[in-house]
Amino acid sequence: MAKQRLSQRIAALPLWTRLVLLAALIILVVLLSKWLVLLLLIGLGLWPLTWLVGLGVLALISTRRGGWPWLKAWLVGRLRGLVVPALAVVTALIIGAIVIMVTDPEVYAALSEGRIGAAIRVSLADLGQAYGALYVGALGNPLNILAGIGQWLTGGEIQPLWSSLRGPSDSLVQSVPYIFAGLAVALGFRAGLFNIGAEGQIGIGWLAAVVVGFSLPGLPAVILLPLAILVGAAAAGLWSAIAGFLKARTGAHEVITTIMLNYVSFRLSAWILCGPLEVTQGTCRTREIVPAAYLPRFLSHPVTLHWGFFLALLAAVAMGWYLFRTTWGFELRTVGANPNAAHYGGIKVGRTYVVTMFLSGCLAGLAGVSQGLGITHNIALGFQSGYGFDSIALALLGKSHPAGVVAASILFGVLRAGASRMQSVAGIPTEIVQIVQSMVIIFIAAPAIIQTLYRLRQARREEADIVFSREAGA
Amino acid sequence: MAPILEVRNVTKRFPGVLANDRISFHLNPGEILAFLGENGAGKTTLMNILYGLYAPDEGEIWVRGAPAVIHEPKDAIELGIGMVHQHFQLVPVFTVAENIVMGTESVRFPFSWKTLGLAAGAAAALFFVGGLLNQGALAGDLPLVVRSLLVGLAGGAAVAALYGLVNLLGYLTRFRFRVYLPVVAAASAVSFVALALFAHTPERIPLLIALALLFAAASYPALKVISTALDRHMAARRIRALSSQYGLAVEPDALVGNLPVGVQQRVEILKTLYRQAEILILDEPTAVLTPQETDELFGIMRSLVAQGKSIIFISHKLKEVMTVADRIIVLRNARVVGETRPAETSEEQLAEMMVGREVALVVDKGVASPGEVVLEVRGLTAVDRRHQPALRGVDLFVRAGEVLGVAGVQGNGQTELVEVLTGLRPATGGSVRILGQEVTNAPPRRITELGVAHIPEDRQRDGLVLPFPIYDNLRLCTYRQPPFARGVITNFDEVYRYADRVVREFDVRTPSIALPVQNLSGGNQQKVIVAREFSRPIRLLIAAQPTRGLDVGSIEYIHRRLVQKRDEGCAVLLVSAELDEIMALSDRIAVMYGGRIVGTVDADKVTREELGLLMAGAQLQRGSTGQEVAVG
Repeated sequence: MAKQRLSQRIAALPLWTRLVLLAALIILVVLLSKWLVLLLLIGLGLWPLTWLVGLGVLALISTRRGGWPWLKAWLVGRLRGLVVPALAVVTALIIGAIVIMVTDPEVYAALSEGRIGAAIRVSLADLGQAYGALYVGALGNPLNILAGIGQWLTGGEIQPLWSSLRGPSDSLVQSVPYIFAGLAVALGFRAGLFNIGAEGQIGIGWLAAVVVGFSLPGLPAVILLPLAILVGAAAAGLWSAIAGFLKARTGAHEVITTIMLNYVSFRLSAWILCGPLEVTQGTCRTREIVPAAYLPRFLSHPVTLHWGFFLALLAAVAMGWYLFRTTWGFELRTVGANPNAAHYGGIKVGRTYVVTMFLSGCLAGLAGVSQGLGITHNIALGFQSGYGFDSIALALLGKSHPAGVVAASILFGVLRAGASRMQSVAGIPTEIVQIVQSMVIIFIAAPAIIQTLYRLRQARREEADIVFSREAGA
Repeated sequence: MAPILEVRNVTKRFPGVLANDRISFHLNPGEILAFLGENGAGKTTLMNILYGLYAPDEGEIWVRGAPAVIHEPKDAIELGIGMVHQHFQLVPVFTVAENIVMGTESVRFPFSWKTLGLAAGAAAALFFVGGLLNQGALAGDLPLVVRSLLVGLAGGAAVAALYGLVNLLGYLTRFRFRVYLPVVAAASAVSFVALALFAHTPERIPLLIALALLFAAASYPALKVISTALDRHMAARRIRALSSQYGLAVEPDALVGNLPVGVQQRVEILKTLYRQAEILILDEPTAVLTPQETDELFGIMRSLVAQGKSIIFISHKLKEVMTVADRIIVLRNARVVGETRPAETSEEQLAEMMVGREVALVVDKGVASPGEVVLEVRGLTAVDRRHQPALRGVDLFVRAGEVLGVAGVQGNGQTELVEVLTGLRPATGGSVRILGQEVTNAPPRRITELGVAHIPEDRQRDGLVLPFPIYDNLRLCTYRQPPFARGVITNFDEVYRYADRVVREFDVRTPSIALPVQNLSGGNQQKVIVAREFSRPIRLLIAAQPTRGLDVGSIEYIHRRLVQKRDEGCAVLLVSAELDEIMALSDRIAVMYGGRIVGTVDADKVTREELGLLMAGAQLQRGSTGQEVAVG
């Protein structure tokens, strides 16, 4: 009730006051960004602690709202939706474990000599090493983090803390392009459009942002950085709008046009990178952008988390606001749900397609922008990493809702970060993690598999078609 | 006579809803039993239980005096229960025969007597001819023809034995198809090898084994084709026989998608008869039929019953139930509230039982006082989805304060007319003026802003966004205007307030305004549309099939609202295939036939028969009294 009153009171304030409050909030966040990020990373790394703190906060709130019964109902309601995804991840990890054990030649060597005990020991050691590396790569070693905090607080040496936070930082960094691309595809889905062109749009955005980044060396960062971001987003948006325009005018299916535009984008960027913009012969790589165009990093090496992460979260919030609180978003969703009724309601369906593809392309382009301005600081041949295609699965996993997409993206970022450490430390190929990722997608997309495996209660089909409301009569 | 079907205390619960509450009834052989009830009364749930689509929570079903356990439609079919659903389950790109036999295809392949006979005969013939041609290979002193005959018989017998063996193995191991290839391949290989050895040509053995395998592999699809063709032929014969026996004229090779709705329904009925149904359940069969087709259906039903079938007929249309039923059972709120015969009751009594209170079946309508012309249509032409002419020059006008009813059999251009008038379809010629303004080919938004409201014919496709909540559907046309939006941002407080008010005012039965409209019953969905369209100032109301699929209570409500709007000075264009509705509500009636208006008459000066003639294409002529008369 306290929350309700607060949001009602905020809504009651005049518009300019609310805008000023929003601006003040943004400035505060920017000033405190380093501390916020530090807290975020530590919270991620020491996640049991975060959960306890969260539960404590919930308990405090529950005292105002009905005590234990309210808390229990709230928890059960929230957690029920997480059972299948959690079990999906666990099952996928189990399958990954089996694959790891089965692909180690030492295990076979031991088995062929009849030393079963040794074989088991070797495979378990493999597993331990692999998943240990996965965990540390993804979420950091909690002991190291605590030690780092201790050292910093007592001696002032902060470097160990940074090193220990590398895991969570890598996870979040890897999740940034996933978030942008996932939001792009989710936005398209909301309008009934399949944007398969995210991969190509990422490239366009990356290229455009990097070009702006090294072409205007005199400008200060305050102007150059936003300019590079906007140009990158707009270029990718225009690229994607081509497909939207074709659909509106000719009815051409966007799946085909976006895939074809992908190819055009790949070849075009290959030619540009190995031709006009090549910095040194034979490298197919452009110049570095000027430091003014960097997406600043919050903390120091090896924590590479950069402002792109905040931008991604901002994009998610903005997309949620756009979809659910504006008339434009209403038009977009209505066209996606029923174009005939939308047409009847006066919505211009063709125009909505073009605008949606533009916005979707902008978001995908931001994925490339964040990689180019935040991580690589240039663009080189072979920049494609499959973010655009994975994002389709992400949008489906997140059920086309911004919050779901962010959650799924962070999951994938976690897996990717862990994978690279798994490869470097334990020598396990990253394909194993790709298997795990794919298994997660399969299990979440077909929950019946998990439900059957673990004998969970399934909603009966009959319940799905109840007519809820009845007519006159008593 | 003992009842053929008995239902005792069947109860069915869904979460939050009791759909059937201790329902008991019996069906006698050779009778038509009508189930009457509003949408949501439980009739469809009950029928789904009888057909095996749902399982009852309590209660028993007895068929022919023995308790029956029905887990799935297959069990129901085996008991002789057949169901024709309200929404047909036909595949438009298949023929009538294919649709009817779908699901009953012979699984006796590869063994059916006819296939066996054909295969054995073909083999015998081949061996015979081979023997004739290959006289050197057959030793013996009988004449060549006789020897060849013997070889032919032997060949035929071998094939027959082979198929017998395959069928036996399949029967014993239940792997009918999977034994075919290996067994036939092995048997052919063995016999060919034996032949080669017998003919002292052992070097041919690899070749012959290869030939044997090829033969086995090729024979499977060949026999499948023969078998299917045979089955189809048999099915077509059987369909023709059933068709003439029960008077259901269909053409087995016609594509279902091209057939009119009445014929499609006959195909559905034939489906049940093909599976030897004795008890037929017809769920709201007349919802999609014209008056003529409905009469034909009743004739079919009576003939079916005369030949020993028993029919359960579900409807909410009182007139029809009184016309065709032998007994009537009324359901209300999941319970049986009455059982009677047409001779012992009346439409008013039935309506009262269905709804639980007195229902006005005839609209209380005063005389109209028409004002200025609001809608004027001249020479309107348009094409349909397939680019065929749908409107061939439509002329009509509607004045403020009157109801113009457009009558006609479905498919004569009414749908296209409404689409053109509401901006959803382009006109290829002619003009449409609303309040003097030219709106031909204007976009829907402009037409809406002129004060035109539209109740669409296909409410789920054109009028509602099913997954969206009620309040989103209510603001479908007005979402951009204040107070629902300030600039671009939606003001949800106003949206909710408006939705609450309007839902109450228009009697939409729902637990919450956030409920997705797909969870509402048909009548309530229509009320949402009515609420949306009526709660802004309108000058012209275009209502297309406004009460299709609705129950008596909702129909009464919508009719009352339409007349109320007319009395408020609105011009109402009512397009309906229900002649009773047109005659009850209209002040003037225009009949559409073949894309034109073939006659416009005053409602109180025309008879039902004259309208029927006009609907069938007759012309209007001035009779000797000067009064316009329809001439066929």
